[in-house]
Amino acid sequence: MGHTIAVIVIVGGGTAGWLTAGYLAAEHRERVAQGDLRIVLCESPNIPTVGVGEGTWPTMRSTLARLGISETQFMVRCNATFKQGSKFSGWRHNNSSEHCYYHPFAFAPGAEDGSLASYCALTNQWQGFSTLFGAQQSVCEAQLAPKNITHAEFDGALNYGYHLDVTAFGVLLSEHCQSVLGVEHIVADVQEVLQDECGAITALRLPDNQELKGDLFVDCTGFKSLLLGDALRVPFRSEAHYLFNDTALTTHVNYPAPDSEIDSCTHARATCHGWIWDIGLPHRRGVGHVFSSGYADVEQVATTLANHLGTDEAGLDFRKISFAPGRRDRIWQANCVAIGLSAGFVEPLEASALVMIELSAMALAEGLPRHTSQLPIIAKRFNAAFLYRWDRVIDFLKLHYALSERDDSQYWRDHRKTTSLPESLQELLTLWRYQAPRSSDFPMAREVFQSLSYQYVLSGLGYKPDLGREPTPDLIERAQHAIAHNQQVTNQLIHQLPGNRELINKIHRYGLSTI
Amino acid sequence: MRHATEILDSKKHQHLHIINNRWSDACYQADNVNVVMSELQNLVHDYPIFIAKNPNTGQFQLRALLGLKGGVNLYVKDGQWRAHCFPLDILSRPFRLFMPESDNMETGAIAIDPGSALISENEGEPLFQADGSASARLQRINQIFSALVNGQQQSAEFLQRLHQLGLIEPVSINLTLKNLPNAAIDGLYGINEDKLSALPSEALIECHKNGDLYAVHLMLSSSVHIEKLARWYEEQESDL
Ligand SMILES: Cc1cc2nc3c(=O)[nH]c(=O)nc-3n(C[C@H](O)[C@H](O)[C@H](O)COP(=O)(O)OP(=O)(O)OC[C@H]3O[C@@H](n4cnc5c(N)ncnc54)[C@H](O)[C@@H]3O)c2cc1C
Repeated sequence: MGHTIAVIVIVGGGTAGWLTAGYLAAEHRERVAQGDLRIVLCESPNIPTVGVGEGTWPTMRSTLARLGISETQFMVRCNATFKQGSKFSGWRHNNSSEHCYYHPFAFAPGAEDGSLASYCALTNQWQGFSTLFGAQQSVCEAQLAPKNITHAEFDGALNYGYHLDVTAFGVLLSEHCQSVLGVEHIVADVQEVLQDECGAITALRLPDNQELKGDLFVDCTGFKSLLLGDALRVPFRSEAHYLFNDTALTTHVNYPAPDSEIDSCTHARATCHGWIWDIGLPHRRGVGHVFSSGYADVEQVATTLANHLGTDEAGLDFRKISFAPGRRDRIWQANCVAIGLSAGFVEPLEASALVMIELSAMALAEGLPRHTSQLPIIAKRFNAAFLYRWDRVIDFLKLHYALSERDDSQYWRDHRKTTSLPESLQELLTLWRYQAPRSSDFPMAREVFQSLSYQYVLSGLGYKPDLGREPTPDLIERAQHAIAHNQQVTNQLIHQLPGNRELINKIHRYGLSTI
Repeated sequence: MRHATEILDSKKHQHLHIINNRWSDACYQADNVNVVMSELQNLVHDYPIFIAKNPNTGQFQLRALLGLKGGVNLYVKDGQWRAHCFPLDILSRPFRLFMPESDNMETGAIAIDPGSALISENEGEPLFQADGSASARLQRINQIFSALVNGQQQSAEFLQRLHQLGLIEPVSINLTLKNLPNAAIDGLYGINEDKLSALPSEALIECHKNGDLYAVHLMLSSSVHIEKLARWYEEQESDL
């Protein structure tokens, strides 16, 4: 029974749709070239893409490399800059807005098991963890790039992702997928989803009674969730009781001068209503205030944002984006998998949406079923893996609120009520009252957020474990050695690395070499 | 940081002399120098030639290795230069080319470090004649800089063609020498010989016609000098 899978139809031409198409076509290059597998992407001429999402993870480097897009071309066409992590300001208290901490992308070798963080806790340097064992925070503070012009594409002195113009990225992906990777493109509104008696999708009805048939369907229709949600009726599960934010006010601002330095991290500044992101591209900054419509109204937030920017509200052109925080109960059902906003979305505090798209597209491409009889098993595994990841994303984002001591609004006070904390997070926080996060606290080999990320946030927010012992001589020696080494590396990097803008200008002018 | 430089001026520097062949001077202490394509034919008899990236632009450049360790020039021993021919870059020193617009060679002017121990009021060769015109020495310097500037572009295009053919690869020079930090020979690139011999015949003919193939063979042949540097390095270490 069943049949082989030869036509994959992707609905939606946002970042999710094109990244999925790209992953599939690149992974199955030979089959696509031989006509044995067709990848068809259908997007509406009328419904715009969401048009936000300017911060990526370091995973984007391997994604681009897999798709065969050169880093130089990407940086020039998408006005990309280097992102080395996030800087959180004002998250701990509201009385001192100066308090800040970093969640950098760099790995701190030897820190996964929590021992180096323990050393910090035991020697009264808990909040110094990120600078004692890593150079990246100092590099970001100095507004330096993570690499030199002599580094090859995708290579660097420090780990990095990007800030980018998402609309330009969509255009680049679309061109590349079609001209290089053999993805077929249809511009049409899907009017109806046709299903067989078992609930599998057989075809999509397009205007003029045309039908688009396929064996496997990927729903990348954004918040609409046209296939998985509307047609297959997989229920939406709200996470608003954990993560209250459901609205963003966004705008673009210019630099004070064309050669102003570009920050190499995303700024996330807490306010009494939520937080403001500030992302630097070469020609402008993208700024947005994320908040909960249940706690603040747009006018209040617009004023806060304008104050933050030091401008007059009237001069700013705000765009309001509403979203329901949450995800579908299942992400894969029958022969339909949702990738992108159609699968779910929670606030962009750690820019985890694109990385979930990359992980989903990679898992789909690598585990692509050849025959429809494989579908139920693959669906089961995919759901287990990605629902687990969604829960970890929610835990990690909530952590930023749960440990805050801000009390300038009901919003923040409610955020740390026990009833608003996922049980899994409560458990982790209980463990971490007496130990530093370590990789064995998490069951998956490829966790979205590693133990190190938790260590950065806990130390940044002052949640210090009570270890109840003295550091062992062995730990002292290892930690001091690592600290001395890091000091040396930091000094070297501060000396050698160019400014972020300087390097971006050079890349526009000379390009990066592929080797 | 180097000292401030002054643009050469026939009035201000009218009496300057330049001391030749004092190889022990600090300005010759370099473990590698830039070379241009037209020098290959001569230099490959004495120096290993590799490819490295220009630290300012990331573009490929030809380099002659002079040493294996940061800043140590093994070609200088007891004040002598141990080779018959010299890279133009070495011959141009202690002068430098000052280019206010980095991409416009026309704007280049010759500059000198007034603190250099190689300039003098009475010793060596004069830079200017009594009437203020350039001396034979200065004319040679001018010629060297124009050869370097013109050659730079030609070499960059040559290397870009090789890169497009996939012939350039990172190389690691594996020498087991005492006290040698590997870092000194990081960041070098060479010719991938397998790729070269597998070039489709059309590309090969094209490379032959435009002279690239000849230059590639010159570079490949120059790698024998690495052995010599290794020997010199060990001699020098045991002298210490
Ligand atoms: C405020 C905000 C900030 C964000 N910040 C970040 C960030 O910093 N980092 C990050 O990783 N992510 C961020 N995101 C998320 C990111 O924007 C999205 O994950 C990403 O853009 C993917 O969107 P998408 O492709 O799923 O959906 P969309 O961009 O909405 O695309 C939907 C596509 O479906 C098509 N479509 C819809 N209906 C039909 C139909 N009937 N027929 C045919 N086609 C149809 C549309 O034409 C469109 O092409 C942010 C999101 C928001 C809301």
